[in-house]
Amino acid sequence: MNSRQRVEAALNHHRPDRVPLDLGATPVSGMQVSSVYALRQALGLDRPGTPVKVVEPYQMLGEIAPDLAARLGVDTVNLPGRTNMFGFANEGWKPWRTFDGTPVLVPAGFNTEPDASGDILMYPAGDRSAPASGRMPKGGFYFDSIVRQPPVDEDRLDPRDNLEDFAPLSDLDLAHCERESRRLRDESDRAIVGSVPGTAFGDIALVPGPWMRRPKGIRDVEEWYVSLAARPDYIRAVFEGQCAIALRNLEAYRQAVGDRISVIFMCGTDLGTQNGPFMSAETYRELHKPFHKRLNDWVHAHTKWKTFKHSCGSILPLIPELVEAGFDILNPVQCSAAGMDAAELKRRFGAEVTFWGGGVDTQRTLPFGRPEEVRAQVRERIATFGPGGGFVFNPIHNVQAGTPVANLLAMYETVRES
Amino acid sequence: MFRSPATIALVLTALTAAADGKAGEPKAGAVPWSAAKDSGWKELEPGLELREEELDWKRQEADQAALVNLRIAAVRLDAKLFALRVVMNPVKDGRNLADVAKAEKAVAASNGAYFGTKDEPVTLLVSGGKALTRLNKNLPRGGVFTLDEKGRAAVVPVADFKSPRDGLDFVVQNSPLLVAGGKVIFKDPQPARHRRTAIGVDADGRTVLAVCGSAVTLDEWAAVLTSRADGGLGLTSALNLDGGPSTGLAVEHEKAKVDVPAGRIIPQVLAILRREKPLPAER
Repeated sequence: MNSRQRVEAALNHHRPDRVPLDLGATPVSGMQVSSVYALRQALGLDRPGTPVKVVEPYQMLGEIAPDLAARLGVDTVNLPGRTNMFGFANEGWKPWRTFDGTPVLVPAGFNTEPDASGDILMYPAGDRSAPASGRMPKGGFYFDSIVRQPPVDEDRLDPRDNLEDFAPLSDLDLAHCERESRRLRDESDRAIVGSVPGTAFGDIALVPGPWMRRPKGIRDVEEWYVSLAARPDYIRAVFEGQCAIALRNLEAYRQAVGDRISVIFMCGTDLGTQNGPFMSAETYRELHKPFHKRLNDWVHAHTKWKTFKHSCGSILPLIPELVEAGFDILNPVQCSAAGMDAAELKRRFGAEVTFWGGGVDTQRTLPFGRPEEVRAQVRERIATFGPGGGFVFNPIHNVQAGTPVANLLAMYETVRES
Repeated sequence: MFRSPATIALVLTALTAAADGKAGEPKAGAVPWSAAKDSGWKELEPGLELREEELDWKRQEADQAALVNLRIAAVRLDAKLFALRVVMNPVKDGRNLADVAKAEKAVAASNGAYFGTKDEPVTLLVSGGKALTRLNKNLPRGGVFTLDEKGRAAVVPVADFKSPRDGLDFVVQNSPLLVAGGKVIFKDPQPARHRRTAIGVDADGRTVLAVCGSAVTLDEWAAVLTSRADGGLGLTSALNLDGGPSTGLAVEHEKAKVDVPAGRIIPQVLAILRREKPLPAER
C-alpha cells in the first residue's frame, strides 16, 4: 500500500497494512514551529540555526517539509488555501525569531510590532493602518484574536454583516488550488487534505475575523455564544447565507481539485470544553446540524471525499449528532476530556466514523511524561482505535511548543512499529 | 457515501439471489458474504431465541478490495409468550438500554423509531393497546409493524394501514419498508453505511428484532435480512428502524447477555417482556 491507499483504506473502515500517520495535513493536526525546529535538529535534517517556515501564523505552526514527512513516515499532506488566518499569502519569506529564540521564516505580510507591555501585535492582511487583530502575549507561543466588537445595537443587527467573511472563491484562489493539488499529486503518493472557506458554522476562532480589517456584526466570542440562545434567528440567517455560499464554493472547488484530494476539512467549530459540551444536543440539532448535513450530503453525492470535523473537548452527547450530520472523520478525539474514553468511543462510534487523533495526550503525557509513558500510551491507543481501520494516528491536536524531542521521537517510532 | 460500481454489482447479485431464492432453500455462494461465526438460533427459553453472527463481506472500494467483518445480533420471539412494549426513557435520566431492560424486567431492549429534535416521538407508537402517538403520514416509504392481541405479527406499508384501531397490542411506524413478500422492495438512491436496526416477521410468523453493529448500507442490510443463504435472517417482511448512533440492543437474560451499545440515550426504547399469561393458541 502507498500512503494514499493506506489512508483511504482506514477511512473506508478496511484494515490498512499499518496505521496511517498524519502530521500537518490540517491546521489542527500540526506542530508548533519551535517543536518542528527541535525535531528537525534532532533528526539531523538541518544545520543548527536553520530557520523553519511558519505556515500558519495564528497558531505558529511549522512547515512539515517533504524531508521531515518522509523521515517520519507521514501519510498525509495539506493542500493549503492561498491566504492564511491573518489574510496574507504564505510567500515572500523573511527571518523572524520567536520568544523562545527559535529562528523561523515568516511571510512578507507577517507585519508585527510590540505594544507597551511587550506583547506582539499582528495586523489583518499585514495592514498596520487597520486595528490589530492578533496578540501574542510576551513570552507566548501563538496569537490570540483581538476582539474588535463595536457595541451591539439590537435594532441595527444585520446578519449580512456576519456574512462579509464569506465570498465566492476567486479565480485566483481556484487556480492556486488546482495548481497545488496537481503538484502535490505529482510529487507525492500521500493522501491530500483540502479545505473550502466558509464550511464551518460558528467556528469561534473565525468569528472575530482576524483577517478582516474592520469586521462588523457579532464578533465577540462571548456575544456569539449568548446569541445562540438569545438571537437564534440571527444565527440561523447567518448560517443560511453562509451555507449557500459554501455550496457554490464546494462545487467550484470540486471542479478545481477533483478527486486528487481524499479528505476535505469541513468544520473546526469547537463544541466542547474540558468538562462538557458548549451546547445541548437540542441546540446543535436545531441550529447547526441542518447546515452541516446539507454540506456533507452535497460532498457525498458529488465526490469521493471524506468529510473532516474537528471539535476539541468533551462532546460525547454530540457525537451521535455529528455522525448523523454526515461527518466521516472526527478530530482531535480529546480522550483527556470528561467522558471521552477511547475504548468506549471506538465501541459506540467506531463502525461509522474515523478517529483522526486521540493518539496521545498533548495536555500531559506528550509534554510532561517520560518517553516510555509516551510509548505505552501510543501502543494502547493504536490497539484501541486501530482494529478494523477507522483510525488515522495523530496526537490530540497540534503538538505544542516545548514538547521534549525525546517524546516526539518515541511517539513516531512507536507508530512506525505498529 | 461513495460506492463503486463493482460494489453495486456485488449487492445486486445478492439482492437478485435473495429474490430468486425459494423458501427453505439456502443458496450458499450466491451472496457477497460468508458466515465467519454463526451461533444459529439458540433457545434462551420457550418462545425466545437469540442469534449472534459475524459475516465476512467482500467489498470493493475505489481501487481496493477488502474483507469486512459485520456483527449482527437478532432476537426471535413468539408473541404469544412475549410482548413488545415502548418504554419512555427521558434522556436526562441517562439510562442506557441495559439499564432500561433491567429496570423493566425485560429480557431485551433495543432502540426503536425515529424521534425529533427534542427527543419526541415522531411516528406512530402503540404499546399495550394504547396509542402513544399518531400516524405520521409524511414519512416517505414508511411502514408499520404490528402485533395484534392474538400475538400475530405483520408489517404493512403506511398506505395500507388503517389508523390505530382496536385489537392492536403493539405498533411501531418507521421507514423505509425494506422487505415484503420475502423480497427486497427498497433500493437506496444514495447509499451510506451506518449501523442498522430492523424489525420483521419470518416465514413462520415469528417476530425478529435485529441489529447490525457494523456499518452497512440499507441495500446490504435488506439483503442480509431477507436472504436464506448462510448467515441470512430469512425474513419475509422487515421494517427499518432508526439506525446509526441510535442502533443498540441489550439482551439481559439468565442464559445470555448481549450489549450492542447505542451511541446515545434512546428516548423511546422497545422492550421485550415475558407475558404474565401466555396468549391462547389460535384454533
